[in-house]
Amino acid sequence: MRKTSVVIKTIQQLWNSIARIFITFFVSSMIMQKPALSQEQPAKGNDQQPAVHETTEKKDADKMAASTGKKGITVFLSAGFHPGVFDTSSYQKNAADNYVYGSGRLIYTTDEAFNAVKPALESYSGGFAVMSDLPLDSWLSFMQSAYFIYEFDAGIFYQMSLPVDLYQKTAYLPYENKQAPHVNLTSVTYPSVIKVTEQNNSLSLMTNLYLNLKPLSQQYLGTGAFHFKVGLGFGPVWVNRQTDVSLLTSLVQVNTGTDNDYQLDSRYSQVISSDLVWGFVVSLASVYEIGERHLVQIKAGYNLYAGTADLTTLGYFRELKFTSADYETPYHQTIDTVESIKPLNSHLSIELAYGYRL
Amino acid sequence: MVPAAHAQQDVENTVASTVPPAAVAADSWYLDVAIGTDILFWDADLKSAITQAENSFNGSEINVNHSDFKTSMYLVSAKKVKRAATPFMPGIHFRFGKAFGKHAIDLGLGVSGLLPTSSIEMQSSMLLEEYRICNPSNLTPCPLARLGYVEDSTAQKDYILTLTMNEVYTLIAPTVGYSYKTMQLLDGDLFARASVSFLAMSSKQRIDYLAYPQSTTTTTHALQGVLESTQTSDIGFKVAFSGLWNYYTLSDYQLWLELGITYGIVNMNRTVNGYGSIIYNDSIAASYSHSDNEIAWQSSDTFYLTGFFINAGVRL
Repeated sequence: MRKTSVVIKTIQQLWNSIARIFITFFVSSMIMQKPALSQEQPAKGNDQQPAVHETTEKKDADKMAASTGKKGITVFLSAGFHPGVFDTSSYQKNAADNYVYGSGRLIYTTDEAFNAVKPALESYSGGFAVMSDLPLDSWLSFMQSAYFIYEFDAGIFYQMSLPVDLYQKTAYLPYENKQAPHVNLTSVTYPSVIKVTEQNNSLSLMTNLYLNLKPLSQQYLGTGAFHFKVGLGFGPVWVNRQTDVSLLTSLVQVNTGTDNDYQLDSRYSQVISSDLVWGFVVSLASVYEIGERHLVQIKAGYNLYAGTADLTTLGYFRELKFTSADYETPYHQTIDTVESIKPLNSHLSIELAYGYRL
Repeated sequence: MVPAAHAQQDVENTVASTVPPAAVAADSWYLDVAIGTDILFWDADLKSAITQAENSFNGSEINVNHSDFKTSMYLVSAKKVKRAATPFMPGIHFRFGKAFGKHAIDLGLGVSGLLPTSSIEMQSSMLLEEYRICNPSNLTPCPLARLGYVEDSTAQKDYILTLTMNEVYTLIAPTVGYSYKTMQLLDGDLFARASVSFLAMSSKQRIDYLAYPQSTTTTTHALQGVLESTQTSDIGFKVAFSGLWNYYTLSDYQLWLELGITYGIVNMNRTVNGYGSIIYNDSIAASYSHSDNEIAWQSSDTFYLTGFFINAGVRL
């Protein structure tokens, strides 16, 4: 007779409950295999509870076996490199716009005493950034018809990019300081460099439903080893994003009166920290099975994100006046705002995966 | 009786009918789901880097370089502004593995953080001192004294400081692990485990503060500001050694408990940004950015994840 304390039994029941919830949603195929063990596991002194599960699970397994035509686990584990490709031109434009357009932005101040007009920026050039994924997912077949196998897939994806220089341009910035002591600084044109660096990452728990076309391949190609599948998926996505924007002008010497060297300096960061949005993906995958258990998969997806995240913008813009001994800031403006934005645009993704059938 | 399936798979256990069956059957796949926490010892360098914002209230000189408001000042909080000790990094772990007799190899993913926390929330008296040579008969070089932020004679005044610090972090750790079944213990198996993890970390700390004179009930004279430290997708690695006790239950699932030690490094490339404003009659008399002072815009710090960890989970 196994002696188990009340505390351990309580913990055991709690964990069993958690486990069953997890299994229901993520690895229900494992339940289907359990009757084989359960039948041989008539535990001493505790034969009531397993019997109930055993009956239920056996029915489930039989039902599954009938629908799939075979009995056993059909869970795969995939791991691979997952580059996502997205157009960065919109990010570049937004970042540059923060400097050259719009009221309330840092440099295009509406303060008449300190005013900058639109610098002669060059046209925006599009670009691409690559984000890598660390996927860990599993899937199972749960129904089969003459043409399709329906599959359920659940996975954890961590998507990360290294810092990307989205934008770096040299521009001429006409700037006016109309304060009484600085009337001679009206229309000083500063050579300037605007630089935008961005880094992204996100964590998502995605679930997908797939139509596996393996029966069609068997019917028309004579082999199921190579086949396609299409899927729809959704899940929560936790987004982190940081965009650093800086502007620094050259030092300009103004030889009028007591005025000396002037410079403009600005930096601000736009940050999203672990905000929750919802991700949707439409995917098409080609699968090549190697033997009974191994497979290689190439999957292309179109990802769309719904929901908003808080974008915190924090930074400053300052005009620096250098004297022989020190410097001071005739003008200093700060920005500290929070706005709701859609954190990511839609983007394509490509996944290379290796799968193993249990 | 020993369950037949397990007895067949673990030949070593068949000789003793009173011995519980092996928690992990030979050549079997398993999935672990667990929650747990790391208990870390922060090294002094990282503490000083993270807490450089706190030093703004512990006597560091703050320069205001505005042309019409050029001065230097000290802020000294009566209570030391100190980030709450947060050695705990709770998280959830998934491991997918296969056992080969006494050996097991697993591939997993750990996720920590995600939820925002408040690590400082305080109200304290604070002394504001203008660090200028001030003469009550000529206060031109001392704008804080001239506008009544400090007393003319002492260049000091008592303030009430309200300060909060909120932070959020995400730590992702894909892991490869190896376990070796050493012995049976208390109706379970005891494993020795070693693992290596790749780390990707993001974090954000934000301090908001407001200070106004104790002698007034309004905010006609106030100091207000923000300081933010952020880092995104900084990478590192971690190694861990542990003992894992896998308790064999009477159901289809096993419970396990893991205790271990960990050592890891993340190179944090932080961006530090912030400003302060001197508010006079509800308008900003002057503002200063932390770039005017000794707080670096970019800061590279090494975060050592040295400490213990404990995980409890279920094996499917």
